[in-house]
Amino acid sequence: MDANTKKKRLSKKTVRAIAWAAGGVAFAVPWVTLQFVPTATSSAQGTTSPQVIVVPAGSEVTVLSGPSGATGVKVIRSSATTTTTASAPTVKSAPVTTTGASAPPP
Amino acid sequence: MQTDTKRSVRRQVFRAMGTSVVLITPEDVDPTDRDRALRVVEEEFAEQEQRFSRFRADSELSVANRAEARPTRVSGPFAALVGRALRAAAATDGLFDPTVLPAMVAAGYDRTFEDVIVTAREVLRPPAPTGRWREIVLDLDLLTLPEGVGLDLGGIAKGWTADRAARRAADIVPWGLVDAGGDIRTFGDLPPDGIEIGVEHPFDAQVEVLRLSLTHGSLATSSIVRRSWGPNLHHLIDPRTGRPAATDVVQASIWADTCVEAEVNAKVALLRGVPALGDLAATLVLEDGSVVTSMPVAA
Repeated sequence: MDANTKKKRLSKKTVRAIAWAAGGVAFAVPWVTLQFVPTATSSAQGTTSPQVIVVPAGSEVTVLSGPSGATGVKVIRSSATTTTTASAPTVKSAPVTTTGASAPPP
Repeated sequence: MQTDTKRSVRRQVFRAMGTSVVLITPEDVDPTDRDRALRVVEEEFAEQEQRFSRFRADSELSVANRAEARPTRVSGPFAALVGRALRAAAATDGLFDPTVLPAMVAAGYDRTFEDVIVTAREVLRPPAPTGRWREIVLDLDLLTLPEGVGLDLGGIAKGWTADRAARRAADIVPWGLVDAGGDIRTFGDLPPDGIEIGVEHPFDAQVEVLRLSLTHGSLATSSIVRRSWGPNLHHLIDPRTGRPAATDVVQASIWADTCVEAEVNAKVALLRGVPALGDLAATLVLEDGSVVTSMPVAA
């Protein structure tokens, strides 16, 4: 092969510089991309949909001393940690009924 | 109709006052008596719905609200409940206020809830003044509402009707309960260990916040979540502001001897927040999902 047509090899220093630059770009691309992702907004803002507040199920239950006249009701189970010295025992049967606030018809 | 075999009870369900009403009786009751009990409970709800509905133009309540400061002759039951509501307003220093109707209408709850949610609005009209229960004159069966004042007896009428229906059913079956959309009234001689009632989480009815045992009395649950039609728009008006209440309590369950008392105190507890636990047998679900109760815990 003719010496004049032989490709000139890049120096080690140049190759190293190119490698560092490529690595830097690869590292930066995801971070730059994230800057342009639109931030999430609350679904309740600016809409007429009912207010939705998401809370974790199985929340902590705190028991405070209440009035002494409540003779007809007792807590027999909580669905989560009960922070009281007298933890309610666990019962496994289904309740006679469940109750919540009055809801509109389905 | 459903049967709970574990507890040996029978559930009979019908609709009234914009909600489901459930009569629960022991399974071993004579079927004829059970059906008779259901009939009297249905009759009671139908009668009181006709009397106290603000969505029926011909109801006694609508007639009284249209009287424009003229004295209106009202029925005995109507006078009894108005008197009870006024006493509750006085006892709670106005936190329970039967005259929030104009404020509720201003907030958008001017039609049945089903219609409100279909045409939900974002912007509140200016709040209407509340606290005018002090100006109401009830002289036996003669009721005079001040100019511009309208009564809303929705919640308390539901509890009051549950009390009346339970008393009538107690003459027919040995024990049971009437559950009118969160207003539960037990009656008769319940089993000694009580009957178990699961309190639903306001955001997920499949989640049980607490399991309670009732041996007598009533349990009422009120929430700002279930009847909400927009951000900060719900049916609980704070009489101090005339607007839907801004409260960190999203659900309150109250035990009391009567359903009327429990229903009134559930509304009041939503407004008072955690301090209400000092003098009410209450279970509160707070906005952050935490649960606080002052009900006694079984040993």
